[in-house]
Amino acid sequence: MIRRGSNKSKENPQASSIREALETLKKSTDFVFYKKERGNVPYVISYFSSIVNAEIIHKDILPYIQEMQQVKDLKEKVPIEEIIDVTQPKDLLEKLPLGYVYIYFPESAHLGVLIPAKKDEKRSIAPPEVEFSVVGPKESFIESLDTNIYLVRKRLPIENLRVEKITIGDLSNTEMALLYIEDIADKENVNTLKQRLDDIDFDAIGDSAYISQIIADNQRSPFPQILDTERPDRTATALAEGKLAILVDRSPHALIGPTTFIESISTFEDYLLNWYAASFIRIVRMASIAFSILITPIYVATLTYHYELIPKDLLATLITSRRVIPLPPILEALFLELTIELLREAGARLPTKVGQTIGIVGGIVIGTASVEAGLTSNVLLIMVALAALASFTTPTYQFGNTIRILRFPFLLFAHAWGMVGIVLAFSVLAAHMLQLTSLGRPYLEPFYPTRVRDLKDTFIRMPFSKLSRRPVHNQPDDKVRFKPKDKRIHRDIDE
Amino acid sequence: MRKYLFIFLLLNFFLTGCVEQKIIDDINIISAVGYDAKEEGKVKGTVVIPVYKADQSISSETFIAEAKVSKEINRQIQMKSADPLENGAIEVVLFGQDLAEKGVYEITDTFERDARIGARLFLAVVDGTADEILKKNIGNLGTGTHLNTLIEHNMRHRELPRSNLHLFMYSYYSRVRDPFLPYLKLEGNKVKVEGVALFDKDKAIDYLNDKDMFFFKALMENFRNGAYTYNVGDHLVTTYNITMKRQFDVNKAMTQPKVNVLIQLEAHIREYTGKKLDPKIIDKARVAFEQDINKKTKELLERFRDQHIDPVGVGMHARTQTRNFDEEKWNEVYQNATFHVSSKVLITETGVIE
Repeated sequence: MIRRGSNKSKENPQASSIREALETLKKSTDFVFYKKERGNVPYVISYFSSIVNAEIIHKDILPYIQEMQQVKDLKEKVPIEEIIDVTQPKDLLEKLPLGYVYIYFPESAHLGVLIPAKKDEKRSIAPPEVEFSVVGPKESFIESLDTNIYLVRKRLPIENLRVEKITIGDLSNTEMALLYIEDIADKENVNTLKQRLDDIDFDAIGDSAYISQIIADNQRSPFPQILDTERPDRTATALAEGKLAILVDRSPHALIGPTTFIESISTFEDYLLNWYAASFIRIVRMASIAFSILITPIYVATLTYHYELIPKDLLATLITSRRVIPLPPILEALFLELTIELLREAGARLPTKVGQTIGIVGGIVIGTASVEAGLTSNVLLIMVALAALASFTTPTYQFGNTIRILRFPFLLFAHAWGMVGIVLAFSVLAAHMLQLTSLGRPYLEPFYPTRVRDLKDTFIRMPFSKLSRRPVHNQPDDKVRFKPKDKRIHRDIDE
Repeated sequence: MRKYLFIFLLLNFFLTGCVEQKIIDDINIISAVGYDAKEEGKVKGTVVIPVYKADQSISSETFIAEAKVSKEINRQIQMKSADPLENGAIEVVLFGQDLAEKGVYEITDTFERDARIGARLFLAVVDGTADEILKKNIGNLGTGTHLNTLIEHNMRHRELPRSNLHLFMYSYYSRVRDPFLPYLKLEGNKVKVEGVALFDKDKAIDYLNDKDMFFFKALMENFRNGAYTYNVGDHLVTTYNITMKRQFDVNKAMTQPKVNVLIQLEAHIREYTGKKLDPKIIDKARVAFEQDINKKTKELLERFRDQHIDPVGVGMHARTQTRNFDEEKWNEVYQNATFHVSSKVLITETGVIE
């Protein structure tokens, strides 16, 4: 549109500024600028060699251009749908780094066209690693947005699955897709999320985890308020419940919201197992979270203040195990907890094979040695090891890390005021969690606010026949998943 | 708001020095205490702490002091102890017989006042002095724990009626009931449950032996495995009871009380010294047992009445059954009460061999 008034004979200012733009781009050594002066139509082609697929250029673009008689045939000849007319230098600067090829015909008045020839290097779809499950699909998201959308869409092949793309990040130009099912997902949720995404002002989005933290309702909270998953099956079922999902290009994790506390500690496997088994494992998991946060603080509190709480048979064990230890319980506990944290961190930073050795060295050698050296009591060693083990049962990695930090304030409070301190710390934590929201929806739902209907997928994962309604938490537009069979009108076969 | 919360929490940490730490291996945890009467109204206190040794075995250490009030004893004992003595885990308190007969209220009151001390700790009266038991190193869990488990298992599974600090004080303050405590005796290196010490207010006035204990407990609570041996003809029969029910009927509670007691129990025969246990003998055993119960229980109730005490709590039964019950009036007419005991025994089992 802007070009309409341009003059043929006089070189317009746009063209000269395009030359300038090209000059800027030429400063990068992987920028190719090639002139073809002979042939039907002379042309100039330029692109970033590192980001374009040479095969597309040589097979799908150049042969057609060389066959071409006139410049205006271009769009008919070249078999690529997206061919953009360049109108201003900004187009060049924006599109070339994204993998477009710029073709310019010096003999025509045309400023040139941009043709996409993006190199799409990606790994193949692999089994999930973080959220592995024995049964169920063995696919996980990869670093390509289109593949990820494909993985979800093939599980929800319906017209109502909406995919809305947004690009964020001045530097990273990260493309992300907001997924939801129209008529099921709540409009308010969709608008909230869109608003949050639009408001993001961050230059380089490294991963979906950036997004999840930036759009969190309360960024000061240690709790992840957006669920992240690498499983397309989990994403698809979440969408079916009326939740929203965000897929971020170059990130193998989908973000799901609004989420709840219960969701953070449940796995997709809970839905793949028989409901008795699933519920049992869920309860074990919840107990282990409480255990891993509270056991060392309780040890410190009772040993420092409440000797009368210890059963008399246990008293002998505790006192004999602590007889030679010079440290007060708090230092003893901190020493061991920090040792475990060191082992964890060392194991996570080192290459896999060395990491395993560290685990063994740390677990067996340091543990036993510190008991023998009289630095820690063996009772506490068992407790701390069990607490660490219990904290590994949290299925989402982000939430596991939250659990990992939470025990330290508890430990300090326990040392300062004993059981009263633990209660105090718990009150602060409870107050925080009660006011926490995920995309504006309460985080502790269905416990607070109490939504009896949603309780059937909390401690106990009820059989699917009972899950006839979508969780109230998501405020779905369509509340009913299926009509439960009415038992009263059940009839025999011969009737 | 958040800022204030933060400041509040931060300032609280300056208060932590005000809380007294009691790290378990830096304190001496008292497991048992004994009190004996001394001349000039002095009380001799004996305190036992368990000593945990490196080889996991437990022995006991004893501290002794004499003073007029019990907290003064505590002060004197602290002077002898290397680590602070803590009384939060006392399991047993023993009273020497002399002290028990002079009155124990002053001591039990201090125990009740101390919030750290549990209401379920056991009190007991010793035939002799408390310190001779506590000075001994009894049992392999430490003297205090040993005494505690001794009393507990006899209460839970045997003929010793249930009592503890709470129940003692409850009966003490009740106007229609009197307290009782287990009565222990040192025999060589072992402590034995000898019977029950009966209290009038806070003074021990009478002692039941282990034979009477069975009937005494039968009047108050259900219990299993209470053994009773009696004569059937020339032979001896030992029964163990399974269930037990009792019913008190108090008539004319305010003028001339007539107390009807019905005891129902199920029992099985565990031992018979004769040759063959046929149905006839079983029936005989049943009748003999019933007669024994009737006679012994009646004797007990009359014995309590004549001593003006009511450890069974007949007055409490009367109170539940009488409109306009007057406690003072009851205590006056209680001495004129007459008792009638009837019983029903059901022998359900005689063992696997016919």
